[in-house]
Amino acid sequence: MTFNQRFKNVSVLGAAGKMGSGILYLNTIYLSQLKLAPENKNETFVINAIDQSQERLNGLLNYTKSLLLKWAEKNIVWLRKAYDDRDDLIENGEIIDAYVYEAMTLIRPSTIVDAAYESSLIFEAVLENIELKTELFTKITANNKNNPWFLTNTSSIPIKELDTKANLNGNIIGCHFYNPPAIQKLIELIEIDNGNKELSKLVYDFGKELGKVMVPSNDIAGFIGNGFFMRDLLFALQKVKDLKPEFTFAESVVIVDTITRDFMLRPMGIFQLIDYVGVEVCSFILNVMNGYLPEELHSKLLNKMVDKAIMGGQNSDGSQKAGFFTYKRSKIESVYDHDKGAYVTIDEVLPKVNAYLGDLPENQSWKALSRNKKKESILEGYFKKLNSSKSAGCQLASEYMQKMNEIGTELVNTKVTDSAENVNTVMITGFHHLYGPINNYS
Amino acid sequence: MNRKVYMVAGYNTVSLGTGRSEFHPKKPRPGLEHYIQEAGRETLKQIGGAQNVDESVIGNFMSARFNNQAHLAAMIPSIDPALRFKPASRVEGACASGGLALVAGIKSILAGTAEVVLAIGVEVQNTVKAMYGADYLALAGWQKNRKKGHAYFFPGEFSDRAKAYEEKYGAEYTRTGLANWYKNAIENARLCPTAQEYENKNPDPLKSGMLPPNGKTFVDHLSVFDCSKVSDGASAIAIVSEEGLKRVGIPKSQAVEIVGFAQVEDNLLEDPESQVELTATKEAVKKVFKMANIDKEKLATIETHDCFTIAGILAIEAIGFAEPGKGAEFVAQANTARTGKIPFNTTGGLIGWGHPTGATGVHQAVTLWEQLTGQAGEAQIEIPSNKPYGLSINMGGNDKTVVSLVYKKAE
Repeated sequence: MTFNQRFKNVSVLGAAGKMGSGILYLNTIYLSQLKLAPENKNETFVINAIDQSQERLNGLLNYTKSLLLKWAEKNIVWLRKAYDDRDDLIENGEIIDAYVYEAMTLIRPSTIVDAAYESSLIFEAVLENIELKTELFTKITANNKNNPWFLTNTSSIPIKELDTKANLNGNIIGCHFYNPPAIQKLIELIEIDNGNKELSKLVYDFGKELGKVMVPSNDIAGFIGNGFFMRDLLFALQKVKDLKPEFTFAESVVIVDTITRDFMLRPMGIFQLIDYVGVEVCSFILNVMNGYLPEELHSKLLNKMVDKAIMGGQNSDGSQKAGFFTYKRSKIESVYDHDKGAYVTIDEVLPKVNAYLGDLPENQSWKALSRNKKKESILEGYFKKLNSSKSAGCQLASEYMQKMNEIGTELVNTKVTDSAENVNTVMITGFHHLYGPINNYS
Repeated sequence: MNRKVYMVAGYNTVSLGTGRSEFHPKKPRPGLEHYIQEAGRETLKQIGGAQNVDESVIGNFMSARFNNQAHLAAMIPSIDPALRFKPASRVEGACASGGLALVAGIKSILAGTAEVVLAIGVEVQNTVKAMYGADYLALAGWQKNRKKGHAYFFPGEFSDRAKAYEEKYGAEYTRTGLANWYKNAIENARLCPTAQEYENKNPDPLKSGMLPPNGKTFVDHLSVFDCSKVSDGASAIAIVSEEGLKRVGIPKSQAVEIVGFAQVEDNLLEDPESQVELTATKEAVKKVFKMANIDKEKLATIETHDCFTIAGILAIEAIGFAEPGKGAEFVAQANTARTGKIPFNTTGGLIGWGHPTGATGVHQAVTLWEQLTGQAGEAQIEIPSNKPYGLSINMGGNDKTVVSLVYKKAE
């Protein structure tokens, strides 16, 4: 079976979820382009969008349609050539409408996993739960005569574990998209020992066609992205503890968040990032990783917050749910004080925090620098000043930078990945950092 | 001409679109009627009110698609109740619609059926994204060519002209000429508060203009810097006779006289005779010079239809300021800059000021009226006494409808 034949029937499990919806969209783009190739005009392509909820599937179709429309508008120059043989389609508007319609007809929504029994490729993006994933994989392989290949979006579970438990004979690969997959350029690729090399090639081709940056990671729980992020998160929580008793819990959270955002020039502070990913998701990933790795990787605090239903993550309209912070139009409004079990307004906390931290080494921001082509030389000067400053903010940031360098280096030392460059690429591309953690700044 | 024809009381709205700080694609914006009313009322204020107007003409290209609105002549009375029951017409000649409005007004004056004509041009194009707007604008070409045309149809047509110019005279040479045209357009627009590029802060427009085109996302031989932007705007001016001038109470010192006008049409169904020549433009200029009884050496300034930079270069050659193939060099040597031998498009032209398609012809007249009567503010250039004339060239489609006028400060 050729790669194109494999793509003739694809299933996305968990298709209406945050990651699944993006993966479905990317598959739709990929397959719709295949379908437009002259040699495939009479072929039938199918994407099964499988999810438990009819309601979410409904929303999924609207979401996918809006993304396809934007894609078609952006790629009208290419589409016009692709529809060159359709004499009935004259104007750009007609071509765009025809493309979106035809792409949407590739998608078959279903709440039943049986829909995947004819697929040759299965993209999996269900909950980060090994039993659930194993059950689905086992059920599909038992009923599918096409020897399906599996691409799992797990961000923490070792792929070999899934391969063994579901008896997949190496026909599985870790294909970890970043959120939102439609936009984020990064895919972490996790091959297993004795895995299907053809599958690896297929994923590389797929990613390349979609303009993604593919970074290989070894099959160690958490891989590069969460391997770094979870340790970054735990260090931040440790710093919050260290700041006691001089500062309240809420003040400490704001201090560390400000350090990581403003002083370290990241797009968002570490606690806002935890909220964005989801307090619950982070807690879950830590627990999964903890089960596979020798070091202690867990946070009682996150578990307690989840117990209190402080989950983070986004509402269905995309707005941010409460976590370490509450938000109004994406801006931090209040901060959770674990000791009090309540939120306090950010304005109450900021005067003391700002007085403690002092000024930035120089007036720079992530937003401005991210568009600056000369950012490397600016960053070098900026961190030189930061490291030599005596202000509490700069010293704390300097210490944090060193720790991040250690975490990154340890990922290479423990063979999570083969190079510092891979670690830096993941953090720059997947987390939008201006610089990689393994650097000479600290 | 059997009667004297003057223009007075010009007015331009802002050319709204990307580049203007008040423009936001997702926020509500003024509609077609706002622009017509703003431009119309500001001109009426200067000529003593609507009761002085005998007739109105409005130039517009494609409101039926951009705004789902036709029948614009009947919008004229919304400017002022005194325009009710007076004649009004809407004219269309693609991007030369504004120019046609001027010609229609001039002809009414010459015919003696009107002493004061209110001429307006308007287009509101930001109602749709560029790839859909490209469909609407493509209707200025032969519809049977649309299928084989580029997604961005007119950029594609003029990209073909740029390609032919490059092949004949050299790619680097051509690009340098186009980039210098862009640089002049931006520098001039920065002097005109209503220009779309008024707030342009690009420290090096020439460098931007030199960037290579990307055929994957746009066209093969023009970059976005070579193109006029999508604009919303209107312009208005009063066309008056000698008697009309007295009626509106404006001294001759604030009027320009129209000493020649030409309107030519070429066959829409045929491809350009030559990709490196604006044949209809050349013909229009020849005619208008003959009528005005002048040659190019008498011109102090020119407003030409630079919907694309290559159209600017080809217009230079069509007027005769440079031999075929020497237009790019003529621009690169700063001859068309505001302090050069013959300043072109002194408030930015279509690339710098903006191109609300149906308004452009009238906007050119307003700019020349301002320059020749010393009312151009910061954008004012020197008008030498031995070169008292201005020339406008307004082009519809790919050199198919061309309106050209010669202006002179009234004496």
